[in-house]
Amino acid sequence: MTDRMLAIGLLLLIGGCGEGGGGGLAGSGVSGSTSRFAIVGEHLYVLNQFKSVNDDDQDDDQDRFFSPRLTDSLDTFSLENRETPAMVDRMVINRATPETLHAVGENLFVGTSSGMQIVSLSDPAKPTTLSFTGHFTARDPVVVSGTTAYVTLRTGEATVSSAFNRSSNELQIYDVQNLENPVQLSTFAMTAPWGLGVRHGRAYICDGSSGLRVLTVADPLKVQPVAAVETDICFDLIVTESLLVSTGLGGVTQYRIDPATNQPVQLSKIALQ
Amino acid sequence: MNQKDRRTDLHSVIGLVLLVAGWLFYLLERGRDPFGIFPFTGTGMGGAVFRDSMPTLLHAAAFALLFRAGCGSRRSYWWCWSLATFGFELLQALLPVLGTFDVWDLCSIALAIPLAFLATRSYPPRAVVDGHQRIAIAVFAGLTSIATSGPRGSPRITHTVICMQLNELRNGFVVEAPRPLVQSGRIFLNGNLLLISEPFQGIHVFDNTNPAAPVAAAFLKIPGNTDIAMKDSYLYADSAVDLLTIKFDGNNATLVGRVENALEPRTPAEFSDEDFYVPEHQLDACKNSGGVVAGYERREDGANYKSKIEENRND
Repeated sequence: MTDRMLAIGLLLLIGGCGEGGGGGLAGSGVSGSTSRFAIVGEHLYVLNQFKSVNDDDQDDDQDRFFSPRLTDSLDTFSLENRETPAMVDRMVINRATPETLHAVGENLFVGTSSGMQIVSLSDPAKPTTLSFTGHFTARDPVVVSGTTAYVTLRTGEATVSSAFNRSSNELQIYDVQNLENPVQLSTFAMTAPWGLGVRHGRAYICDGSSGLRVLTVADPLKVQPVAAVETDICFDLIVTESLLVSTGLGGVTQYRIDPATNQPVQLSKIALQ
Repeated sequence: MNQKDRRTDLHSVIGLVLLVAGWLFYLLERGRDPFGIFPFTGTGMGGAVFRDSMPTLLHAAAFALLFRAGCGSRRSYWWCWSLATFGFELLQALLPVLGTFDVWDLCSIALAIPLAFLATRSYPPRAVVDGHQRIAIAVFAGLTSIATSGPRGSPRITHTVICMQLNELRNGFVVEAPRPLVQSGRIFLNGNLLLISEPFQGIHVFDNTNPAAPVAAAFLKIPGNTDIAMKDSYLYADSAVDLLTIKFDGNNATLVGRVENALEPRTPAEFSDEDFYVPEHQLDACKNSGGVVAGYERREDGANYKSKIEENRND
């Protein structure tokens, strides 16, 4: 095939970012909290699935009624050859359905449907599980700041149609100083939290119809809401030193965070068409 | 047994057959048709109107026939029942708690009753029941018509499968001029670069040097894309079953690597809390044709259905 190349004209900016300008970039950029890809050093980690061997087309009639069983895994690709990643490891995740991947230092924090799994990358080509901390079944990204992990749990908003379905939506804060034994510090009730980011003692959370909320989490035992932005439902966000980028039903919105009030102030919006 | 009795029985049988047909319709079509029996499931054939109103039509005709078979052909019963059915549907427009008003349901009823009437016109049956039984049948018919014209069961968001042959998928990477963002998925920031994945479509590339005014630079068309990560000037992105490496180099974005069959394609579930349905038989058909699922097309079948998310947004 021939890749049609088009003068993009604007991508000269790439050159500068390899040096890791600014906190957290370190040449690998920043993803949102609901990402399934994470790059640490020379490896790409992917939350993937694979078909179990014994389902392998042996009984096609069965497949009609039972879709082939998929097993969840954390796959490791070596980026030694930048252009052609090579899979070097596959770690089966079978305690719960993994949904999000967040890399901090030498560890991966996997948000699963029923708990937070901490994976050590002390051997980057061979991740090993350090701990699994269970919670009730929900969808839950996890991010980490320092030695504290922040997990949002969403079971959906209480609506007219699900009025009989009492939902549990909250922010859980864990002390992860001991990665093998995280200790839950506190919980904070929320509306329907999706993605989140934590920076300088503030948690920025996409909280369903409550909009984009800012909480002080410097003292995990005294979580306080400090600001909120009314916005279309956002699914995920990225917080950097100077910028907050959210993605959701309204498109992609960028905010600057007012240092005095912690209030995100909208800079621009790439609206959906 | 005289002729009239046989006709009465015939009406009952036709009525019951229509009744069962309507129930089957509900069960198989609205109940997600797990076995792929209905060839039009999820294809949108006949559209929402067909699917929503077919059971109503069948049931309205069924009860007209059953009612007639049971209670005879006295006009008062006919009008009574027809008006009750119509009235109930109309009442839904005023009192949503009773169900969802739908003009097409009204049309179904309007169509079904004359059909049933015409079908039995030349064979006026004899009433075979009396007194309390008539009341019982009338109540039964009324209650079931309430059920048929009642609120829609579950939300009917269908994600129809976009199936691609492998050669099509592997020729699918194209660098295009910027295009409008239709759905925003995962995002990635790398220096002055902002990447937005549009689920299953590709990646919007923005120059974010000035976050107050991001400039669209290009659209990377990547079938089946959901995830992105960058290291230096290399972008790693999934394309259904493949893992792509795209190199940003000056003014160009070039596909430089492809690890084939490294990944399992994702589903729309991770981009929404909606209760949706993917037609199983389409997945099967795709698999059997040797293709891969490279995307989904969202279809909101119930015109009356509002997604949970939209409901909340309007609060």
